[in-house]
Amino acid sequence: MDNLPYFLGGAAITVFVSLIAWVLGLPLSLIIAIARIQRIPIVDLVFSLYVSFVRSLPSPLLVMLLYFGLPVVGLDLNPLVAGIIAMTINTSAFNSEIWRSAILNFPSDQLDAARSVGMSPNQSFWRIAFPQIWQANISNFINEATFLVKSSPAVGIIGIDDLTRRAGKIAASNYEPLPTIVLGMMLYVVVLFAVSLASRQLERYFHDRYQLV
Amino acid sequence: MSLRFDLIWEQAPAFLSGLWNTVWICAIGISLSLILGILLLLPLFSHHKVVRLPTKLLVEAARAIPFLMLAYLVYYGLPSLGLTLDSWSTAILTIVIYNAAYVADILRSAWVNLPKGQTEAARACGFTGVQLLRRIVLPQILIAAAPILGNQAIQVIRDSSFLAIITVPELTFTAKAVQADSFVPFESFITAALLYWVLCLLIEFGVQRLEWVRNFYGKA
Repeated sequence: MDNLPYFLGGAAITVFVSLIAWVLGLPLSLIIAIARIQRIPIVDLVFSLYVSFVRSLPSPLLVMLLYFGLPVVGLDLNPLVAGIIAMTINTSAFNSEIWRSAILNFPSDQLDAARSVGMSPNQSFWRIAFPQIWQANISNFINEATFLVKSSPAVGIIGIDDLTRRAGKIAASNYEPLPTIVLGMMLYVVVLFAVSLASRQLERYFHDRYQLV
Repeated sequence: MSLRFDLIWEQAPAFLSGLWNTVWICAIGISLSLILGILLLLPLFSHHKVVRLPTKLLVEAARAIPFLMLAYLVYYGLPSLGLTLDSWSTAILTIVIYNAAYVADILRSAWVNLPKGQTEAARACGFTGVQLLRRIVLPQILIAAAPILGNQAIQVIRDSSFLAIITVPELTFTAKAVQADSFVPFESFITAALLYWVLCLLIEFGVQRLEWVRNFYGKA
């Protein structure tokens, strides 16, 4: 139990890495989704390969590829940056599928109405479709965030001291591995419980506030 | 800068054996967890709260922890209970426990979405208990959930990469060993990544082939 502050520090690092990657991944995945929906010739192909590739790429491998592999190609990253980029790449592929299906399923009569009052396609997307899609899918995006938290131990491989790495370190050195790891697990459960609680609250808030599609 | 894929080619046997280890660990892990996930449906749909609620809690908790954490629990934690496993058994046990929780949850929500009339009609025909589950419910929810189970299988393969940390000689571990040996990190990791990609594309292809079964039976 005297390790609790050390564990909480690890949990903070886990949350920090996941949160930054989530925030960076959202706009990136939106760009990917839009490029694919617009069917921009080569970009569309590249992004669809990217999504397929990243969706089957294990996070630990991606982290090591960026951290150990890129210096060979002349790109030296510090561990924290490499870890955050890896997590961002990881989540961008999954989120882009959420954006894509949400945009494709958006009721077209609303866009027709927007056009008929004189909005350009761009305006009608950003002012009409986007706010509704974002709010209606908030729970899906937050659900991706929980996957992000669960794959974040991958950054431990390159020495970022996240919760799992700290739990593993202590469990390997003290003589009470079982309680140590169970404590680490409970912290993850607490973090993810808080995330899903926030998701439910946000969903309800958006739902009550606006008449969502 | 020059990429040395020739060095990777020399290590092809190592990569193939790593790939093979990933494949069979995941295949056994997925099969056993499918069985365990199905068995978990019994307590999850039990009429007794004492049985249902703790199972539900366990399934939810298992779905809230990272794969690596569970691997640590099995690898470092179980020996203090007198159960010491080698890295292979650790790998499979971790996959089975972890994935069974996801399978149980996927099948549970497929069952909830199964039209009530199905079970009512089956009961009217005299099906009860395990028979009802095996003959009526299970075939329908397995077919309905096939694409989601396919995605989950891909997730298992991705998670199995974490096993490299507890020195299971699977694909990621091989890539790490090769890069340490021949100093070809980029080539080594990208090769492993491409092999994972092929593996997952094969699963996706298999799930698509299953679609005809769905179209044949399934308006479930």
